[in-house]
Amino acid sequence: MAHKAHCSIRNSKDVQNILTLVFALSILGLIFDSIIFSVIALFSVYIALVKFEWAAVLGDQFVTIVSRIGGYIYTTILVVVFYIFITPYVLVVRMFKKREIHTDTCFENAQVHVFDKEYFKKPW
Amino acid sequence: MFRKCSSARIRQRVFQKAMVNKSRTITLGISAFYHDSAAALIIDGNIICAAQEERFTRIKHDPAFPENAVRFCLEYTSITACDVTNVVFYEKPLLKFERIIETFLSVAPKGLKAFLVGVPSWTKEKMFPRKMLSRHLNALGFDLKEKTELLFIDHHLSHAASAFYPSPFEEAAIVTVDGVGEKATASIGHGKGARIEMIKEMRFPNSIGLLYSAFTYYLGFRVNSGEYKLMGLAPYGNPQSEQVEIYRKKITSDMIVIHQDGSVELNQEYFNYMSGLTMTSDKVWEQAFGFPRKKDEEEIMQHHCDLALAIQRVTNEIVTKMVAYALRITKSKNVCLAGGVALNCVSNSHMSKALGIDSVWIQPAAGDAGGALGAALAVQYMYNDVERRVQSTDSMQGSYLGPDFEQFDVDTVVRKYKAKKTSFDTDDALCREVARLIAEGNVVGWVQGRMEWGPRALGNRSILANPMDPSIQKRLNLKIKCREGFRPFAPAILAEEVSHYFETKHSSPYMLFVHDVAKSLRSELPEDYHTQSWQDRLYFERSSLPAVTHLDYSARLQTVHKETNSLFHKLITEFKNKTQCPVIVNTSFNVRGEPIVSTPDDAYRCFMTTDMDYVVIGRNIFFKKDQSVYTGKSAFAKD
Repeated sequence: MAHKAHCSIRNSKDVQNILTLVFALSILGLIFDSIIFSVIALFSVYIALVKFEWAAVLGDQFVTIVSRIGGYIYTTILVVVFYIFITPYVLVVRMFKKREIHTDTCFENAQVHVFDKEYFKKPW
Repeated sequence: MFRKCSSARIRQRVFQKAMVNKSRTITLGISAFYHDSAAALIIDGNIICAAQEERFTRIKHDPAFPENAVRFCLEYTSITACDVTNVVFYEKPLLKFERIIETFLSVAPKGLKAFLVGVPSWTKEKMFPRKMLSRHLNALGFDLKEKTELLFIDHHLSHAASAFYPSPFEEAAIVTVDGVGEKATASIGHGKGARIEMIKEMRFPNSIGLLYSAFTYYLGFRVNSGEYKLMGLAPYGNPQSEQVEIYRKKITSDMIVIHQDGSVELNQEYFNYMSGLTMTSDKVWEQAFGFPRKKDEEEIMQHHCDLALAIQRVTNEIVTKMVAYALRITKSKNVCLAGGVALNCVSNSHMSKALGIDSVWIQPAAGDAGGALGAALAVQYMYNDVERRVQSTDSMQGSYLGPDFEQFDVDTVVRKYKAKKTSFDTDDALCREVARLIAEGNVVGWVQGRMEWGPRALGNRSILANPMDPSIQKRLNLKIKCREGFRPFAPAILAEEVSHYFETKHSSPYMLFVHDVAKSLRSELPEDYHTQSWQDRLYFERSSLPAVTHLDYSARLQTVHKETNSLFHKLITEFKNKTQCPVIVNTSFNVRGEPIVSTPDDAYRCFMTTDMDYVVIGRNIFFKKDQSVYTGKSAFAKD
């Protein structure tokens, strides 16, 4: 029991640290307009909370339940972040951003023209 | 599953010998997780095999990882997973995810419902493409740490490669047009030798594929599978009516802007695909066109046909302008096409005629399944630096790249279902008998050799009938294929006879072009023909080939070449000897909602649950009246 309580406290601190880090990353992501950065940061919460920390603390029999709850929490966080934090940001950005008007073409130069070997190795 | 038969053993020896003597580059291409999953295997630039997963799982447009198709590729070539040099996925998943998130951001706070449906599957698995693919590939015996490299290429580069590399051109403009890949929805590239350079791209949400899909949806068909039905419905529109022109103007003035280079800008007030789970904003469309969205089984009315014709004309205009622009900026005289929109054979033909170009080559599996082939070819030529050898026709081998079968498989079917068959010793005797059956008005299933790659049956997994029989279209549609009565049927014609029966001299081996029936074969139309209801026009005999002549005299023809399918060529030749007609009705061997049959077992089951008279599997003929009572269920499903 004592061990579990200790782990919970430690876990709780870790969670706080992780959340702080993630919050900072999300803000940075927003500032630099990097969606991927924000999403990766958010996803790391899920990994940290559910897959490693909680699972280790609570034992195998709880993993399934915790994973499920974690999934819901994660989705909720994602939704909350997107629709409470990001929406106002997007709306503000939109106010200052001029709508792109294509006058004579919607074609743009291809993002990648020539394909070197490194190109094939990345999933992005 | 894929039993090693005599021919497989021969192949195995050939491959093993080659593997010992020479270091080879073997690339497996995979498309998956959206729709039409598939796998394709290329060895030193040679297309060895390719198949769609749906044919094995019997789930139409199956999006699952193509484990059966991959297994087939390995077993067909008798190589092990560890022999494969690279596995390549047909798109860059993280770029696609970025586009999805960007879209949600741009429409926020709308789109919550779509977000909740779409994003969890990404965060759960798809955001980790390496891990996800490794799990599936490891289960199939691949060693991604030591022996096989996992690679990724852009969706539109996959399409471009599938169009250019198998083509007969040393150099060509490449145009790819579909719904959406990662961010691009259409692209223009230039292929020369073994290299492809991408030049221009049009990006989401402006998309010709999505525009066409929106109309598919509004007219009551399913998106990503009903587009060819919309194309088939268009000729029922009245070409002389003002209504079609009004619809066309509405589309081009309010809904989209078509630029001179064929790029389009979609007015998002009319569309819902960015923020919702549907394609169109139904109320806005109802105001624009004056009728509500057609429900699934609701009766087709003339205004539905007129709208189908209007969007077909718009698509023709866009594709033609885009190809003209591609030819202009690449300074090329040849063009290769791929992407789902390239399956629109009406647009292909319109473009070819309007621009006066004959050197057009289109990938027969132009949709997403073809991405597997294109991805593998791109890696072979641009990553492994394999030398490209251009072939005078093309390197698709008639698109017969799927699994084949042996007499053993037919005997298994006979034992399993206690079936009765008549066997023939020679192809000549078989073809004479089958030609006689077709000439007498019977509907015959025809299953031979390797299954086709792509959505069309090209004479190896086909249902065949007499094109001169005026009752055939109705019978095939309603009693055999269990599908909508308006759907047309395609003619397969001996390549050397094409100019006598159709208004073209060119070959069309993959059913990717439409051509008009020769004037000499046409019947005169009554004066009020165009004002008659589409139902009245449907069964009017428009030519001496009524079963394959569409309402506008067009036909989506397949030219049959001795070099690529000698048995089918022989059969049509025998039919010609009996009837003086070198044309046969060729439709895919399946019922509505079911993938095309693959194995003799699939074929027999489909045969027994429809009104088909005979099925021919290899050199064996099964007559329906001789068979025992079959208790299995039909594979018919609403598609």
